[in-house]
Amino acid sequence: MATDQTTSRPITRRRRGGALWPHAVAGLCLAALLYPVLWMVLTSLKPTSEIIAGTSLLPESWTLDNFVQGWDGAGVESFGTFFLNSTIIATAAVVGNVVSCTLAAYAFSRLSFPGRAALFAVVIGILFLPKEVLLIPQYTIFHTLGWTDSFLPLIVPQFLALDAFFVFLSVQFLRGLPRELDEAAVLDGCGPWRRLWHVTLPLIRPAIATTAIFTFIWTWNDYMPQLIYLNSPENYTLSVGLRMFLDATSGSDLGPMSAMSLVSLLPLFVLFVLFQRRLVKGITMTGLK
Amino acid sequence: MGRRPGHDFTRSRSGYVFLTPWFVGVAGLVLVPLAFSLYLSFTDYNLLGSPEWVGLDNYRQLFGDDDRYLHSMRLTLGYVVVAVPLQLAAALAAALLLSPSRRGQGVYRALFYLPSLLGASVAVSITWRALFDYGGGVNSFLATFGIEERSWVNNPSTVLWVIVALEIWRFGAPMVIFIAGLQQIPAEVYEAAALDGAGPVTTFTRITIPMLSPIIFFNLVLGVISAFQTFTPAQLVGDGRGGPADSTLFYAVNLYQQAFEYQRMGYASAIAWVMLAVLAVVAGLLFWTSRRWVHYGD
Amino acid sequence: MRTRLCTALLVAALTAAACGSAGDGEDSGANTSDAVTLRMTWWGNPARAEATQEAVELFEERNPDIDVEVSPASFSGYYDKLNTQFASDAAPDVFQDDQVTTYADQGLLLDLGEYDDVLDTSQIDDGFLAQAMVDDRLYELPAGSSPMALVVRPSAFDAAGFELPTAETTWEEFADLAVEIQATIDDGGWALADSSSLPNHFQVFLRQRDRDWFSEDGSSLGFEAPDLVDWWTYWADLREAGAVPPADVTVASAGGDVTESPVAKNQVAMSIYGTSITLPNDEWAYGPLPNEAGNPGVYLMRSNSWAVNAETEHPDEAVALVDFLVNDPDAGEILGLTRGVPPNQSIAASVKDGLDAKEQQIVEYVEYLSQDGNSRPAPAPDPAGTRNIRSEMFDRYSQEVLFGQRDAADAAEAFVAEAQQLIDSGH
Repeated sequence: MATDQTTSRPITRRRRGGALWPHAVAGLCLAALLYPVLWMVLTSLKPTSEIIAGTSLLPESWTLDNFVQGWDGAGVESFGTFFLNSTIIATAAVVGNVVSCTLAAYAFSRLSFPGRAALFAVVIGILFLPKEVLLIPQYTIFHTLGWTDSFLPLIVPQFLALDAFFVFLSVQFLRGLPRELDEAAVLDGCGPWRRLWHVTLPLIRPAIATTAIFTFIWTWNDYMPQLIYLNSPENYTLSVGLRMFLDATSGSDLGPMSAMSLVSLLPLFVLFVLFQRRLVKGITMTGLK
Repeated sequence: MGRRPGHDFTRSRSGYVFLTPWFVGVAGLVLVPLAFSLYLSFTDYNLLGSPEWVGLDNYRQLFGDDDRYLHSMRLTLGYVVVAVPLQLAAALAAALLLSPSRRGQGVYRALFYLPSLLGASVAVSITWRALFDYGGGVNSFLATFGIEERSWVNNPSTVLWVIVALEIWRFGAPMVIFIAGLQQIPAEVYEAAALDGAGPVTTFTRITIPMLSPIIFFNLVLGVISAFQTFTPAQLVGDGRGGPADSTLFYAVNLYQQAFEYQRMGYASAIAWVMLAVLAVVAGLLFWTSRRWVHYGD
Repeated sequence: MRTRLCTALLVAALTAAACGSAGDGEDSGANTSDAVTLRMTWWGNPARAEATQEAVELFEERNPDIDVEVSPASFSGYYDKLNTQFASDAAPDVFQDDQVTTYADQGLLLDLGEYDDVLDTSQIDDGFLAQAMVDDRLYELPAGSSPMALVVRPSAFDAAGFELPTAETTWEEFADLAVEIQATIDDGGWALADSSSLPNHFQVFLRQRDRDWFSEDGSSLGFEAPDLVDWWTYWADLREAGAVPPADVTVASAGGDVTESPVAKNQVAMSIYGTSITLPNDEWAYGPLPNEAGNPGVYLMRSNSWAVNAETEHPDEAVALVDFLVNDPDAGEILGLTRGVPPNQSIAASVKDGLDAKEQQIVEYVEYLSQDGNSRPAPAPDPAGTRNIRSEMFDRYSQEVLFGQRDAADAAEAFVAEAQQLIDSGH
């Protein structure tokens, strides 16, 4: 049925534009899709007694107690600390990835040097490499450097262009852009640094924006490395803090858990509202040239 | 590597300078650890002593003497085979619904994409578990149809489907890619088909699918690779230890267990290296079959 | 080149930011030349975390030269992290532990016996100390007791006129009682919690048969497949009769998360339960398990112990901290029953007055067990490297039986075989 719509799009767009059924279908799907989020929101606003009784989806008496109770966490550190830590790590990761991945992508797509193809193959290889293979040896290295229980193991790799996905994304993006400007700049005697600064950077902004946004989101959502490297509660991020909170409480604390889940997702909602076009474009960019 | 101009203006060694951070990272945090973990896979190493060379014993045990390992491999492959196509089908259906330009499509696309953005978080995984447990939103919804309450996550025959549902729920990212692909199919092609009297089904199977095949292939490869490494939802929606009754013993969960619960680092390294090999083989197979069904037409 | 410099500066700036957020207290401590910093970790619920932190603060107050960095953790993943830290020489100085043999065998634990000038064990029962000894050396100090008890909600009995079970009640009578009580209970509640997958409960059952988890020399399991079949079948029958919760309710507390157990969630009228985490409401009465009279299986099990890292740079201070936590009256008062009844007898006695009615019951139950014939001496600590047998492996096989994926006889045979394999590989 949806096919029919696609097929006839070019010819009958206007006439069908006002049809109701696509809205009905989309609306229905949306209701199903957003139900889990809605449930989380409503649960976070219910008093514990109502959650246990489990009578209706809507709270009979609305309350913010869950947020107050949840924010204090397991009595060790408040979620404010976790929130701040997640923000520091995600922001640093954004800076690191933007700088290092742009440099690497520039070299791979705009400069030519012996071994370039082989080295780019390494980038692709890293892209597909399961992280589990590197877990233990990396931990040992970071410890030798005295970096465990700090943010460094989570931040420094981002400054070394190891997020191959973003190198790949930027290379793909640059490949799609004409090289003529670069070539003209060479004729004008510009060195590689000036070409990067004056020619490539202005062009590559969309890729940088995509890298920045996705790095933030992915780092925000990241779980395993944070769990392994952060030992003290004052260094915990939201991912680790939420998990601790879940372990430490009984099923009747569904309210605070939902409340803090919601709080932890808040920045993602904000990013989504601000940058939804860029996000959608960014996804497209990686998929298509 | 891109097209090169007849005379190579840009050829110089300055590329290495730009790649300095990358070289440091690749050498220190990828190649050396990779070599170390390959070495470990031929040893017996419990983290606390020093590695002891055992030759191929670990690999022999994996395939000859470890039912749980083989179970985790089967479970993960089964999950990939079920979850990835279902997610792609949902993504494609949504893309077909949302690709024509209409009022409000932008909003729909964005909202359909939202779960994909949130879905990888710890918050969604733990909420997902609560949602499908006693007192969760799924039970209260089903109760309106008179279906009896039960725990979908604490039951080995249903928990895997709960994780599949989470994977499908995150169909937004491939959907967006499909939409972009659909919009690149020229309208003339459809018009020509319509003139030939092709019905909607014929148009879909003869035009839409073949023209979309490179994108389907792209989504498929990405989906298979990431689904094979599923860890966070497996750990947080399941009981965290591969249970109940090993029903969420995904490949990566088993690897984590062998490494950090049994402290069998050598054995776990072997598991990781087999994972690498399996992914390489699966990717190779996909590329090989792609010659038959993926059309890079111009 | 400029960009590279920028990168370096950024890294430096971020390093500063990361360190800055790690806590200002650290800096002030580092400035004092002779200050000692100890790191410490444990697992447990929020109540335990808060009490322990408060006690540690008191310790710091009394020892201004010692700074203690604490890392409260949850049980899941606790040993994963600790092992990784040991592997990279990053383990804390003082930590909570319940697998003394495994760590002692690997030389990771400080021999506390050599610090008897700092550590006082005179007030601690030998039965406790025995559970922390390997090859006659004291490697840990028990932090509290957690013997198994039968907890019951008397109101569920009073209403229908049932008598509370006693130590004389046989397992069969106990099962019949559960079925009878079940008939008086509404939907969503059960007479008894399912213990089939809980290793400490199974251990009592085994010890009543003069068996145990492990043989005395630690070279094999201390029981045979038929013992396990009996245990699983006992609970399967109760499940079939509807007197214990269905499998999908029971597994929520699998893996020993007591806060998720049916008794903590008020879903049952009776349950076998350890006593180291107090239940969330006051309705419960603590008593002996079935069939305990004459040949008891219960012992004064330590809930967990304090251990000191053999590689600590400050052994005297670390041992002093352990001594403070276990022997100091003020610390005892702060800690209360957060790790079970204190092992130090004089503290257990003095703490009792400050407890609420529910906690007093626990102390009284432990006192009852201490009397002759009501419990038996503790077994030796489990053999090295066997922790997974009692936790992960037992849980896994029990679940396969719970969900009917494997019949009890088949699962028991397989369990015994796999466990033996693991014991052998540990030697």
